[in-house]
Amino acid sequence: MSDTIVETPKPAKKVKTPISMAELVPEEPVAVQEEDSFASVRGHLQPLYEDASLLGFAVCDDDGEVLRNESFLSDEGASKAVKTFLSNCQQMAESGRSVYRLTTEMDDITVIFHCIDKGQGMFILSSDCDLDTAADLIAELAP
Amino acid sequence: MNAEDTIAAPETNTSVSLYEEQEAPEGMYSGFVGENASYFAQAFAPLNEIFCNDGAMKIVSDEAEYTVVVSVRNVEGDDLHAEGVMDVDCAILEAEQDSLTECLTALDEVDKLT
Repeated sequence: MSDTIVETPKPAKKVKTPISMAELVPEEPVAVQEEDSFASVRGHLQPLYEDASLLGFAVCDDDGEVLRNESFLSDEGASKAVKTFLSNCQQMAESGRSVYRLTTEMDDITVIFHCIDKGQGMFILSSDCDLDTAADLIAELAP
Repeated sequence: MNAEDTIAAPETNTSVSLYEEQEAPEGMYSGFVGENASYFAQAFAPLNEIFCNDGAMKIVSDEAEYTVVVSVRNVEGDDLHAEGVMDVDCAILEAEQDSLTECLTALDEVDKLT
């Protein structure tokens, strides 16, 4: 097996925000403000709900504790899933690798894990959705 | 997707036990692709129980330096399946891929990548 690196010219890189463990310190917002802030997330994703692309989402803090869960998973399940992604990001960071999005396609769903300005976002999409459109919309939630 | 999109030769049919743990590979070196195959298959295995998945999955890791694409597949044979052994394909693509959909399907035609 050869691991020869094929150099190809790269376009100017867009600035992307790696998933960070440290910079997303959970705030202690007033309950009403938190409600409003997640309503804005939901509103942003409304087009994905309308065409049945988005089955739900959850946002957790950097420790994987649920801040908002609007998915079919229990809070415990959502937290466990996000912690799986976070653990991966942490191990990658320790190996000097910056991850800014993780995507997992399973039987009937595709899960995108993406840092957003409200925390660590996990978005559960139907497998037959327009994934690139959904991914672009989710990326707009990044800080 | 074609061979020019990869920055290392794809690794195919790597047998991976999901019950073992590995550290995330770092840097590009001989064996890097195979180690990524094993690492991602094992790191994401806990999602199978959470999402009631049978073990087969595709993973795309968008990173600053490259895009890692992994396909975890069930192996034939009940004994191996029971032992948590999976076949894994892995390819390392350039960073900043335009289409996530194309990344997920990249390994469907792995023969074109090799």
